[in-house]
Amino acid sequence: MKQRPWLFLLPALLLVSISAFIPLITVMNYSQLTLLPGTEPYFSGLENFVAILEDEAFRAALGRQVIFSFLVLITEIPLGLGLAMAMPKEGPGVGLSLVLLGIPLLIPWNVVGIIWRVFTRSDIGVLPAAFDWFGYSYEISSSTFDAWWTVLAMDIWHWTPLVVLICYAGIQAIPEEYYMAAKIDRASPWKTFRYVTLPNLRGVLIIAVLLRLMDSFKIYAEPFVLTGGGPGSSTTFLSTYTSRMAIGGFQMGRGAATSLIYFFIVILISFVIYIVMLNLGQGAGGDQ
Amino acid sequence: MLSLPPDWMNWTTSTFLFLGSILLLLIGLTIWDMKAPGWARQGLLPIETTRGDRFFMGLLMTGCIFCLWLYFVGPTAAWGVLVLGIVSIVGAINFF
Repeated sequence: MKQRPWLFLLPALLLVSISAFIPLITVMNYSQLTLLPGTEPYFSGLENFVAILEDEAFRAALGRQVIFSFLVLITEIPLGLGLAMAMPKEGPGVGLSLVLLGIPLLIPWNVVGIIWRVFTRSDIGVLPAAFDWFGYSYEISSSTFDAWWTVLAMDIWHWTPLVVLICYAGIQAIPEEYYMAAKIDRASPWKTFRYVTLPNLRGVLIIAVLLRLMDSFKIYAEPFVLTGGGPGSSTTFLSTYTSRMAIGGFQMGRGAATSLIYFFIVILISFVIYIVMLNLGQGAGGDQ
Repeated sequence: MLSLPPDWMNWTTSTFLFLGSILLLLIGLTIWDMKAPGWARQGLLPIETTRGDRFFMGLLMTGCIFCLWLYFVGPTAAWGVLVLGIVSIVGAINFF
């Protein structure tokens, strides 16, 4: 009877092993092989890893990816938290806000890319027309700056609602008595936020940061549809680089090695941020 | 390459040994924890960690060492990564 929970977990474990472990192990095997179309795979050891680590394009894509994820986090987390705090706590406004916020989340990634591609088209797009009105020549196909901030704005538009929903659920769970006590102590709005809201949101903020970090690291469809990784390779992130290597370049072995390094980087950064946030939260009096 | 089923997975000896080692280490940790339960404690890091946390950190450090070794030294003398990896895992479990 003591083993009963394991029996309940068994179907989920089997499903995970089929859907996650087997592909991962296959990728690990492929990363040590040279797989070219029409030829038998042969063992090449660590050659693929060395080639990837020495590839200038990989390092450039990794750098862009880190900068992009950093910008996503420092924008979406404060914005999402602010919007969640500004949302109504009761009444018909709650349902309306939740529905409006849910709309971007319901749109598939590639459709978001298509919507923003229409927005940015030089002939019919709203963005070039609007910027033209202000005297700025908006050119997503030739300006790195325009391409970057548009990809960033698209991600913020698509995913900030997720942060809002997570933070809103966390805010709703904070007991009203804490705010009443802060009011009795005549705490300023900033101090109430700093010492009541923020420490109590530590758990949900860690989840929001990790989700957005991992998702932003995996971004593929939106920039692929919007900019195709350009102009040049200025919006080529790690996922685009990997897919070009494996599918476009027919180098499955190198693509697999890139995937493993990519996977490791995501785990490493997520773990470091998780540890740092856990420590910061304890310092801020989250458990007090 | 190993001839393990299914064929399309193209099993290699190194993957088999790597995963087998991780599995053995996990089984070893489980037995160790059953014999002598380890509690969360604070070591060199400013946070409390369990034995499993420290093992995971050791694995991550080994991954970093692997990448740095390949970049700076290359695939020659790759056994050096194994030695450094074992040292980092043992070090992490004892001191983190």
